[in-house]
This record gives sequence, C-alpha cells and structure tokens, in this order.
Amino acid sequence: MRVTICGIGVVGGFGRGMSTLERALSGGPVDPAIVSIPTREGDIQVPCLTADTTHLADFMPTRTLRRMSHYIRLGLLAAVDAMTDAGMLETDRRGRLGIIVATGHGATGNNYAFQYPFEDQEEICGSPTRFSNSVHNAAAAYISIALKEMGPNHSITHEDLSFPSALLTAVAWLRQGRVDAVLVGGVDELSHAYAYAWHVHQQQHGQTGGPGGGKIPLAGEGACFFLLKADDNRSAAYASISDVRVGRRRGGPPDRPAASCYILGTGGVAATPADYRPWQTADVRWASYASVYGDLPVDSAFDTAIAALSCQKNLIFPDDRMAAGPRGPEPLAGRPIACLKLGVGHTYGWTLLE
Amino acid sequence: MTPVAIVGLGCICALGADYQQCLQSLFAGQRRFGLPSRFPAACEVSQPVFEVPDSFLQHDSVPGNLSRTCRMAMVATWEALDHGNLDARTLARHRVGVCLGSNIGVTSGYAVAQNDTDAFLLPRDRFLATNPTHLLADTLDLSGPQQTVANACTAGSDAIGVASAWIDQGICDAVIAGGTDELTPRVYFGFKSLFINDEKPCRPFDRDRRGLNLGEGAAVFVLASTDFCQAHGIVPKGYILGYGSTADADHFTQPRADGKGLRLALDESLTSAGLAPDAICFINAHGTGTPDNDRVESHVLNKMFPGRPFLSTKGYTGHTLGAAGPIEAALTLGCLDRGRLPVTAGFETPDADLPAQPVAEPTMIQGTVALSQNLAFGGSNAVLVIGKQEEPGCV
Amino acid sequence: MVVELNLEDFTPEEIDNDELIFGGRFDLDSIDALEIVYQVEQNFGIPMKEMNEARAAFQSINTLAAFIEARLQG
Repeated sequence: MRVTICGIGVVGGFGRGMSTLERALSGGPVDPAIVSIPTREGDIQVPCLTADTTHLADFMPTRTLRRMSHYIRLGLLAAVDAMTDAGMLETDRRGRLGIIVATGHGATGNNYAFQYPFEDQEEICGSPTRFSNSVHNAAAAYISIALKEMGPNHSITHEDLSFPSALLTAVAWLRQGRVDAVLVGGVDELSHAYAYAWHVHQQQHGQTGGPGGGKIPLAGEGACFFLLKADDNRSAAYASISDVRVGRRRGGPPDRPAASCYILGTGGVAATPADYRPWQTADVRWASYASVYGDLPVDSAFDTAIAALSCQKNLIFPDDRMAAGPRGPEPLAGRPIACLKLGVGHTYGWTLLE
Repeated sequence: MTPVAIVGLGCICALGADYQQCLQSLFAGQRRFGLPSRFPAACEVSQPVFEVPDSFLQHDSVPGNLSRTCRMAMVATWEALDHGNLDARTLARHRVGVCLGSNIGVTSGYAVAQNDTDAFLLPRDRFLATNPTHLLADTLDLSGPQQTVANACTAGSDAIGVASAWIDQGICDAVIAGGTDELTPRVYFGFKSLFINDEKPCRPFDRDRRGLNLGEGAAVFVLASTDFCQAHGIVPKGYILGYGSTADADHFTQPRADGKGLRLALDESLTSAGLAPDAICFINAHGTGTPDNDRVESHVLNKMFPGRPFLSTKGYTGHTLGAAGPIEAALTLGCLDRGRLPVTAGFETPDADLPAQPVAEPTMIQGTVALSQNLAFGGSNAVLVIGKQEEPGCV
Repeated sequence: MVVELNLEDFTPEEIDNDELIFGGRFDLDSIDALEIVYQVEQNFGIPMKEMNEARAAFQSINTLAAFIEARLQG
C-alpha cells in the first residue's frame, strides 16, 4: 500500500513554508541570529538558526496564543501549514486523522539551563501555566484542540531518532486502516546545549568536521509536519513513502535501502563521518542540507521535506556545503531518495521516498 | 487487529515488588500510602502518595546508580522475561522493539545536574544514562525500533497500543512494551498548583472525592505475534485483543464534560477487537478520584455498559502516570485469571449525581475479556481490550 | 496579571479596578484562575486550599485587593 505525502508545513531558521525552504536550498540566504547562551563562565554569544512563529497570529487570535510556549507555537504553525497545504484544514474534508508529534527534547528543550540543576526551588514549585507548558505532549494537545481533531494523538520521543520512529507508527496506522490520514511531524526548540557544543567544536576544530568534510551546522530549531494518506493518487502528492526502517545497529552489514539512490543524511556535530562510511557504497550519491535548518534532534524531518520537494521538482538541490555533494541542481532521474539518520545508542532510521 | 500475545509480564508499584505480590496485596485490600519521603527537605508536603519502597528495587541485574524510573522498568522487564520463560538470547535473534510510556523517563535527563562534563555531549549522554527505553534495548541487545510515548497519563496504554500495531503489521516479532514513571517534586507540586491532588487518600467515585494521589511504578509486557509463540512453544498468559485511542480536543487539563472522547475510544477498542459491548465482563476505569474525571467515566460507562461491574485500582496504587495503563492492564488480567474483582479502595459513599457506582464488595466475575481505560492530561483517551484467550467469550 | 497571564492586548492602566476579571472582556479560563491563585500565593504568601475561596475574591481587582489585605492583616 502506497503512503503519499499530501501536504507539508515547515518552519525553521530559513523561514516558514516550502517556497521559502526551496529558495534557501537554491542558494538563498539563511541568516543566523546571535543567541546569548548562559554558561558557568558567563554568557557567550553563539550564532543559531532560530525560527519565528509570529505568523501564527494569521490563524488564531492572540488571546488563544497567549499561554503557548515557543515549543507549542512551532508545532502548531507547521501543523496548521501542513493541513492547509493538503487542503484539509476544514474538519469535513479529513476523515479520521491521527496526529503524532515527535520531539527530541520536548517542551523542556530550552527551558532548563543545561549546566544547572533543573529541579531547583523555582522549578519545583512552578506555576500551573509553566507546569502545563512543560509536559512533552503539550504541542500535540494544542494541535488537536486547534484542529478540533479527536483521532489518536501521540507525542513520542527517542532523542535523534524521534522522527523516523514516529513515521514508523504513522505508516502502521495507515496500513491498519486505523485512520484515513496522519499528521506527523517533528518539533524541537533551540537547545542551548547544542549551541554550546557548536561553540566548543568551532573553537577546537574551526568549522570543519561536518558530514562529508563540510562545515558543521549551527544549532537550529523548528518544526516540520507531513500530512500522509494511504492513497494511490500520485498526482496530488509530493512523493510516496515506500519504506521506513528503524532499528539498532549491532555490527554486521547495515540494513541499507535499495541500491542506486540518493541519501540525505546529517549527524550534526556528534555523529562522526566514520559512522556513515558503511552506508556510502559506490551506487549511492550523498547530500547534506543541514546548514539550511541546523542541528536539532528532529533534523531528519527536514531532510524528509527536502526529499519530498526533490521528488516533486524532479531534481536534487545543490549541496556546495558538502565536499562531495552535487555542485549544482541535478536531475533526480527517477532515483529514489533515502533520508538516513544515525542516532545515539547505535540507532538508525531511514525513509525511502520516490 | 490480530490478537497480540502476552508472553510474560512484570509489575512493580506500591502494591508489591512483583506481579504476584501486587495481586496478593490487591485482593487483601492493602493500601500503602504516606507523605513523600524522598523530596528535598525544603519542600512542604501535605498530600499523600503511593511510593515504591527502596527494598523493592534491590535486584542483582539492575545497577543501583540508574534513575528510579529506569530501575523500576528493568526490574519489571526481568520479571516479564522470567514469567514468560524467555531468555534474552532468544529475543536477540528476532526483530524485537521496545516501546515504553514514560513522562519522567524523558525529562529526567534534564533533571540531573551533571558534574563538570563537557557540555558538548550533555543531551546525548543524559539520554543514554536516563532513558528507560534505550536502557532496555541496550541491555537486551535488541535490533528493532525504539520509542517512548510521552502522552502523560495514557502514555503506557498508548505504548502497548503502538507495540501492538508494530506486531500486527509485521514490523516486529515481539516488543518489550509497558510504562514507567517515578514520583517527582515537579509533578507533585505541578498537580498541586492545578488543585488536582487530594489532601487525603484518594476516593475514586466517592461523593466526597477531592482529587488524586500520585504514585509510582512500572509494568512491562513481552508482547509477541502468535507465530512467534508457536515457533517457541509458548503458551501466552493473555492477549491484547484491541486498542482504542482518541483525543478530547477540548481543554488542556480537564476531560470533556460530554465524555465523547472516551466513548469514541471505547468504540474503537471494541471494533478493533471485533467484539460487542456484551462481551466485556468488567471495566478497570481510570478512576483517579478527581471530581471531573470520575463524573465523566461514570456517565460514559453507564451509557455504554449499563449494569457491568467496574472498578478503580488507583486507591491501591495511586496515579502512576505513564505506568498507569500497563499496571492497570496487568491487574485487569490478574482479575480475569482469578475470576473476581477486589473492592474499589477509597470508595465508601455513593455520589447521587453519578449514574453508576464501582464495585464496593469483592465481586465474582465470569468471562474472559475486560477493558482497561485511561484518560490523560492534555486530553488523550486510551482503552485496551485484554483477554485471557484468543477467542473471547463471556458467560 | 497582565504579565503572568500574557494579556498582550492590555496594559494595566486599561483595566478598571471594578471590572469583572472573569466573564468579562479578557476571555480568561480556569487555568488562568489557578495561575492567579498561584501568583497570589507566591507574591503575598497567602495559600488557598479550595477554589471556592478564590471565586469570591476574584470578582475584580478591588475585591482581590481587599481579600489580600484582609488576609495579610488577619
């Protein structure tokens, strides 16, 4: 059964929306913001790819938004955009919709000073609003309320494999017929720890050491949602998802996707190029767009959006950020694209799009 | 949905250090509550909780330096493997995933101030040291997918639901599925600020109920396909026959007054199991003891299962958050096995405003299928259909 | 109140002291009520055990101020 991507909503350091993402991929500007990161040695100023959610006010009154944290707003904006993109914002056009929100760090992604105790007195005796906003399922709950959607609603996490794991469940639900469509996405707020990690790495190694010898990406934040259906109507879709694999590596040959595809993959600062070597066989072409959206646990959601766009436009975007990547746009020529993520704890996940 | 076999299960909470102890204490009517004993000295506590004593966590194969959330999950997992007469090597040869429900397990990484380690590794290091799903997969050397469901009070039931989907769709041969959450000051005082806790031991469905008591614990199931069971000559201890999951889409902290979310979840669970409401022998309600929750459940259960016995076990365990669904599913199976229900601890005076009352006397039941339901902060509703046998029937 | 409840549309000067806090033009809900209870406790050291106590006190800024003053003196 084919699973098709019918709508995508995206917000990140490059801006908001698929056209903005496409412009950034075609060489458009991606301007970092300078963020003040508190450390034990004092505040440091670090360039980061931050995302703006002011456009949420186009959809809902400020009074409804007032209590929502940045984490919730990121998720809500991308979720609503994905539904609009798929023409399914109205409840009577949906059938039964499942919602799955994947997040690496959840609502507490940035709400703790990573170098200080979280459970200090102020946090323990927190206000009801702050406590409500701090639960991992806050974004998914507000999305269901905003969309008036009563289908299954899950918030899931597994650090940097959160998004591929969520996709696995989304595809299973569609194949079971449990739902008619799934709104599945990744949300992560800027992590001060990731920003600090970039800063330390840059001080020690300069800007090299990224995947394939390219630059290491800045810490990023954002949200990326997909509206999926089990649907054979290819003309309405960006691309089809033909396979999702998620698991844990235990040595031995990697569980690779079918031959002759493009692989989009990144590891941010932590994954080493050596981790990827077993996957880099002669029949695959490699590209990385991490400098567009940055380093965040749900980065593979952005890779999936870019892969979907590539399938729709039938081209691979230039990747001059990576030493061995495509230099200019190249025709996709019918090759499938695998979005690969190698994660912490020897986990792996890839999604095959065509 | 194809029935998913329960190969073995483990359970740890205030009732007992293992599944059999939990069932014994349950039917003996034991309630072990008290004021929180582990919070920082500066915290003023007045509301009772159901803690797991440290003695329950002594286990040769469980390192003492892990978080309580992880230790409880591991203790329950070792018990589940033992209960199912399954060793880790057999599991490692198959495609086995891990899916747990936990709320503390996904934030405790940020709750511990590390000493001066390189912040570069901090989020990943913290994850590796404190995430119970990862620890189980790593300890058992499993190759399948992993995921933690963080759906507040339905996290664990939803994790069992996800695991069932992975098995149903052939993604996994088996899944270690369940839930775990320890008691923390952050949640205790967070609930207090929302006026959700009771100053006294909780009183599910009682006229004078005022709120819930938090608890802690873990329950882990080894779920598998019937093919896997046949291949290994395993006789399942029970089955997950169906699963329903919905969202209220209404208010962030209070359940829908009209109960529609719960009704839809109940409908879906029965449809997925291919059963009519008649087939259900009893319902293990969420029954936290809050005025709103219990009111909604009583109305819905009265409408959908008029006259069917239901109970709440939270008067024995407290509200164990992500572990609630799996612990209550385990106790539900235990009731099915023994053919009887314990009283609803904490329930004394019927509420005239509620159309249906929970069991107040030990009650015999006949039949092989029951439901266990949970409602969450944020609006999720989850229902598991639990059966003693693959072909359900109700006498 | 303007800051903690994130009432971005209003300044404190725009809120009349006799104006209804709930059921009026601010669109507040039960979580806001709990937030006000929390803020009163944190800022004035006055705990509330039951929401019923709070309801009467929360009619307007003036009733809230009177409630706090009475508790601080008593």
